[in-house]
Amino acid sequence: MTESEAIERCRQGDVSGLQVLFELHRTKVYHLSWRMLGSPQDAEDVLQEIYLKVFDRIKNYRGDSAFSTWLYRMTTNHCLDILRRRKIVAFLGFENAPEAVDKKDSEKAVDLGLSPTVEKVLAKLPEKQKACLLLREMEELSYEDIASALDLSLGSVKSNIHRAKIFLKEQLEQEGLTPEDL
Amino acid sequence: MKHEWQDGEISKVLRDLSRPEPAPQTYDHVWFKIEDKIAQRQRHFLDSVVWKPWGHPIRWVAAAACLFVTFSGLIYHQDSVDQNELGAYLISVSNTAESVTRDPGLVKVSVLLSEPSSSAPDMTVENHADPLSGDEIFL
Repeated sequence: MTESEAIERCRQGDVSGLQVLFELHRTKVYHLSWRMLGSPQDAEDVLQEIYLKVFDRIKNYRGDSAFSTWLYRMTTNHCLDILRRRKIVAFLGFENAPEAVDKKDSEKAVDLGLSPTVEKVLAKLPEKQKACLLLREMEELSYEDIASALDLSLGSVKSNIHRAKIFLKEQLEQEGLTPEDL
Repeated sequence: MKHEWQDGEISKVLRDLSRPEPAPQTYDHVWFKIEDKIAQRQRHFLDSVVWKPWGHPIRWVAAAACLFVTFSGLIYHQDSVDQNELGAYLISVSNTAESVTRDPGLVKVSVLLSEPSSSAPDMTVENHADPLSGDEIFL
């Protein structure tokens, strides 16, 4: 079954269509949410919620952009919502609330398979910049697709990525690291 | 000496970072949960509203109790109806005078209808004659 056939079936409420879409894109959604949220449990939850959303909202997908872009948009927005909620919970001081429990940077880095330094630097990035950078460098999306996925202008995407790279450079230089160290 | 990072190097570092690999059964596990949630939603509305006695052993007991009360109620009601009918029959058979007054074939006519009334003569049939007939005499 091709992707477009699967989308059509999914529109008609057929779960087999959704299963095909799940098998085609699950890795991308999982990786992106893991990178954005920093834990495999959160990534699993996001994967589940995103595909339930896909099943509910597939009728809104007009096919103007690639299905993967639409999926990335939902995933990124969902992750940003979760991060925002966590900030609010932390701000309100509900330290023991499950959403507010955050791992240390080094633990997260082990989860992500990253070096603690890179993780530490990535964790300091503002969410939008982080999302743009991850989509561009790790998921290898075009600027246009990122703009569409994050609902930003092309210029805004480019400037976010540029700023993120400058920030990463400064931080890595401060740590005295070279590409060979990572 | 401090290394100056270039854009290309940053990109390379990020691209070379290992991708997080989930546990082998993770995707299957997530898919089962998705399927389960969709099935739950698609279940008919009445399924959650209608009481299903076969769901749990204690419901069998409750359902049996309800059926027992219903049937015993019906039997009791039927029995009392039969008793009333039998009682009525025995009274009618044993008391002939009573049964005559109760004879549905007997037509009772009201006194008011059978005899002309003296207190309201204007209401008699004769008074309903043509009022102009008397005038003709004087012409």
